[in-house]
Amino acid sequence: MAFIDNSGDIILDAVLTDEGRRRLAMGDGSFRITKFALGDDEIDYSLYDKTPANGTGYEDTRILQLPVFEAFTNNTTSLKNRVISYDDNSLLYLPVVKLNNLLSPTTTNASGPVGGYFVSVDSSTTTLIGNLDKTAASSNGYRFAQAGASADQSRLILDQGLDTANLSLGYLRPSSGGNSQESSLFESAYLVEVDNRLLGLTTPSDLSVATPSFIDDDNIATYMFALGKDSSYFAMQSGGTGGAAEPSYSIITDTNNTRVQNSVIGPGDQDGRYGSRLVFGLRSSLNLQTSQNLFTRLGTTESITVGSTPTSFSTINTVVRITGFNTGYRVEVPLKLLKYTS
Amino acid sequence: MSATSFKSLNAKDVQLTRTKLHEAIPLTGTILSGTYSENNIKNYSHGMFQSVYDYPYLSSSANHILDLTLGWASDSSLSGSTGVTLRNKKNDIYNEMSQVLAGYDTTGSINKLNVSGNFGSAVAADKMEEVLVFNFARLLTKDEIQKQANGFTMTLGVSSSYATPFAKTLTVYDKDGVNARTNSPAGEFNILYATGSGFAASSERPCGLLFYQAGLAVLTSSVFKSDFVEACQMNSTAQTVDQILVSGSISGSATAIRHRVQNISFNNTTELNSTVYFCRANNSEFNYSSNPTYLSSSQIRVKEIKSDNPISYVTTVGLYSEDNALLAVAKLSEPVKKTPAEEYTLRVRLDY
Repeated sequence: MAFIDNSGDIILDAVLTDEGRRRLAMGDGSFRITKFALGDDEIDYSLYDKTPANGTGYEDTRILQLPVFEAFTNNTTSLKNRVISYDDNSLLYLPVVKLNNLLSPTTTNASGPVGGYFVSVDSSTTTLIGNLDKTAASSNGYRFAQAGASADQSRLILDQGLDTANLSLGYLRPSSGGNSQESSLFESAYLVEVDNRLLGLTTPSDLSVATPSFIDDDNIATYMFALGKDSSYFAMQSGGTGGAAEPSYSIITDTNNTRVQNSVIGPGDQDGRYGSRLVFGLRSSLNLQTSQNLFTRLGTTESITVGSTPTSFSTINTVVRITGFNTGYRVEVPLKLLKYTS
Repeated sequence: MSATSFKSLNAKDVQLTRTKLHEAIPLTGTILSGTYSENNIKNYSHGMFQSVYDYPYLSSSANHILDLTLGWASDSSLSGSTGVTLRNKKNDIYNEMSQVLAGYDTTGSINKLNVSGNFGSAVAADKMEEVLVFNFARLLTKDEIQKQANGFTMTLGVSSSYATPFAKTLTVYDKDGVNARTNSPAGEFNILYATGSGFAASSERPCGLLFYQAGLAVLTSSVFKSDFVEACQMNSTAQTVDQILVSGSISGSATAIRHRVQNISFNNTTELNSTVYFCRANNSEFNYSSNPTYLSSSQIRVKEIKSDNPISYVTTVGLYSEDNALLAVAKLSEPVKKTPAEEYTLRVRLDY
């Protein structure tokens, strides 16, 4: 008689994160576990071998041998990648979230953070950059986060969708009115994490400062934007899905019926599926605008060429993390905060 | 239904449990007798007790093991002695121990420590009026000393010779274990019994009390008298235990007692309150991933055609609050393959 297979029941010891310990210490009832998620941070799926030399059954040998780290106790560094549930097992494509660098602004400044922006934190720095580089205000890898900066100057645009050449150009719709299979791929909510000491987020329409869902023990503020409740952060698809944020997320074609490239979703002119577009502005903290203190503690001084003029700035490197709440896809936008000190 | 990466835990998925964790604590006599040239023994200017560390106490690596002290009642037979050193402090120590461990009678007077465990008893022979106190550090006892028959043992050298104290030994032990008494204000306790050289079989005698939650053993000074085995020479000047209790300092007397401790052993107990979260991954759940390497140009790497089963490899479980803050993390020892053909229940235990 064989033994009963009990491998389906696994006992694990959990450790509290720093945020968990903080909430437990607060004793105000904010430590309340209500849900769970599964993660696979250590897994490199490119190791999956669809045609293993040893034959069927050896496709994931290298993946299963990957060692697993002990738990990180920092709440923002654990479970960066979550395992996702979809009802449909026949999905072949999943959506991604990408920083839009096609629309103004762009990230063409080679000396800037890769895939990110220089961010001016105060008016004098913005004025200086504008004087030295006339194209900076609308492009060239700069964002402006001082109080009073316009929506165009301060915004980040994130595009979501199926970024594949194998699907014809179209939309993902959140409702059953579209393709029911693809409707589950539409992201309708995002989590945005940013260092609260350095930056806040603003609504693109009226530039009002957003309120974070919570600020953790490491001063990381988490904002939750959901379509419907926070529609002003979502751009509108043609057909009525989305919110008031500009620019709209519609397929635009020219007179030759060729797509005008306004999205980073879809590698070619006639492919890709547009999902949702998240737009929010950056607002530097009062501390950054009025003081050198955080630059002294967290940053450095370096020379950056603006236009063609090497200029000395106080800088801090930081990052904004955007995570699809439902689809789990996460993108990090590196930022280099600039403050000019004569 | 849209995609989701979180799954709610309902009331049936959360279970509270309590377990007791025990550690064996062996204390060898070499630590108590001053392995480190007495540098692990700390005396204080107040002279009320002596502390024993496991390493020279000036080192940050040193751990506090126990405190030794002694005292006698103000109406003890020793009280009429002449040449008493630190009379008040010895009386104060006795009263403090009695007050905390034996409590008060109906008139508010402090009960005397009693080797029978009946603190209000008027039987003179049962009263412990001259006591030696081993006060174990919380670091060792944790929540309590484990209640276990023969769980606590202490071997004392009771040969009359100061030079060879362990030629005869007395074993002090917790005979009754789990059948603990509850009439002490300091929590559960039991009577300590002694047996040793020259004792007839099964003729153990009560010699003190062991307080489990307080982490404290009280012995009658008689263990070093001929009442038990032999009248012991407690120091190099051949003083008896009564003589050092009268004329010695508390610290000096503690040093004399340490000289006659061969070993002490017990188990401690830590109560672990745990919450077990049953994280159930059903067959249709958690089969895809948001890992950036999961996709190549938005196409799932582990699938060739649509009808292939999706696969994910789980390494981590995260427990979240309602506002999506990650409160606790558990790791699997190796990646677990999840497909629509499998279901798992991950029992995640969070200890407090």
